[in-house]
Amino acid sequence: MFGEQHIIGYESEEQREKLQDLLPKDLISYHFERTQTYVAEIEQDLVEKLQEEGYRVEKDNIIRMALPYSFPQPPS
Amino acid sequence: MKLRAQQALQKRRRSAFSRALRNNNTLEVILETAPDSQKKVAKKLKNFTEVKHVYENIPYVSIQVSPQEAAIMRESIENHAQNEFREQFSDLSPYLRRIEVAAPIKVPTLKKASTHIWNLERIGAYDAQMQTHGNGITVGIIDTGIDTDHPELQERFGNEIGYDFVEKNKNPKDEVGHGTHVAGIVAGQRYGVAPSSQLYSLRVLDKNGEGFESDTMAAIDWAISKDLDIVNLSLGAPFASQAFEDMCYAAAAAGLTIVAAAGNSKAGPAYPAAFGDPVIAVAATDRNDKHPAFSNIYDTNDISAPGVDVVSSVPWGYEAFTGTSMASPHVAGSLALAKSVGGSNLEQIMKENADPLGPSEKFGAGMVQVDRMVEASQSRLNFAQYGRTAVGMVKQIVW
Repeated sequence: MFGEQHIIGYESEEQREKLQDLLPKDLISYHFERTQTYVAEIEQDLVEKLQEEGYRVEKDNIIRMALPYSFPQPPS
Repeated sequence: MKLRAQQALQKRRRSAFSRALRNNNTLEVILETAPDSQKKVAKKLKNFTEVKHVYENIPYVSIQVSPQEAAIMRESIENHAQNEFREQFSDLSPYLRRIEVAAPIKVPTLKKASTHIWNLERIGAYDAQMQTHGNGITVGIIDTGIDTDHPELQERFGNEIGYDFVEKNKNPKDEVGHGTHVAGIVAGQRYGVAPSSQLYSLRVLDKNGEGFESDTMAAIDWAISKDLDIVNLSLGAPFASQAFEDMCYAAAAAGLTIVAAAGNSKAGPAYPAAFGDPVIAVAATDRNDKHPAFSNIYDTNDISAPGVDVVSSVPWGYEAFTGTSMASPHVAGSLALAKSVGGSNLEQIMKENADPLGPSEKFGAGMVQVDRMVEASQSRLNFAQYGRTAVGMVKQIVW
């Protein structure tokens, strides 16, 4: 079963090191030092485990271009 | 496409080709090749003429030739004529399928047939451009990518074009058209507010116009690291993570101005515009300064700008689009102009100088007026310089 992309926040260096061990390395897409967050594709059981351990885990939301109607297609 | 429509299109293509042959100008023609043969054909033709494009995903090559050369090639490819082209490129014969002339890019006829375009006129861009074109200001377009070869935009890039956070490479091309349109409003040669500002293409939306919040965060992170002045985000979602909000605050703290579309779902929040303080949220107006029904009514709206029937660049020419996507880059361009003359506290200057239009949930402070923003930025700068001089004089007297 595939996981979904999540954003996981940490608050200390100790928490970061522990988190790095918990996350599957090949599924980490970003580490943002500025916001102290990792982005990784993780399965639901790991989401729950991280939440239990006090990490802030959020879904990586889908974002769309801001047009109200169907977008005109390029001419073929 | 239905058969009749297909036949009509074929007929139009053939007559376009014939018309083009009567012209003396160099033509761009497109060659259809056998599957996966476009690179082989291009390689061979490079010694003969200028190869403009070798398409990765479709078996086509575009080249530049004279009308006479195009006629000879057509005779050879379509009628198998034994002419000089066939003699010189006999080994290519099995790979060439069809030739057609590339449709010239045309600017749509505007309703107000003048050199002034309503949206730029309405925000005072032409008057502001008498003072500045935005030189030295960097603007990141976080979007679907940009057609960097478009005549409207090709001068607007430095050595580093930007980054593609979807494909993870340094070639953020636009497969959709949205980002190119937005970029044209910010800095297009004719359709842009700040036509000398420098652009960066930060692609976070895929060919369907969708992407992940995390890629958008990465683009903002990139813009902070590169010390860009402004980023425009003509995108949004009804939900957002705390991390995304934190990134926007980090950007504001670093001096990066974030401008975002208020959204097109009539009411409610669209993030990042609805984050409040760290983001300038832009609502749309129409040609009559009215609130179009799609533009989100929400209490974080900061300012309004034209967002209905706005003409700008797209990879296939020029088009008029509608949405808060189009409103937001007017404000990004306006801020670029004001900043280029040394303006600071730009959000305050922008709001103080807007044309009030109505309730702030709909319009924010009102219609952005970039001519007044530039003027105010200049006068504040002059005052600040005068003030410093005066303080210096006082100090000299005291000492």
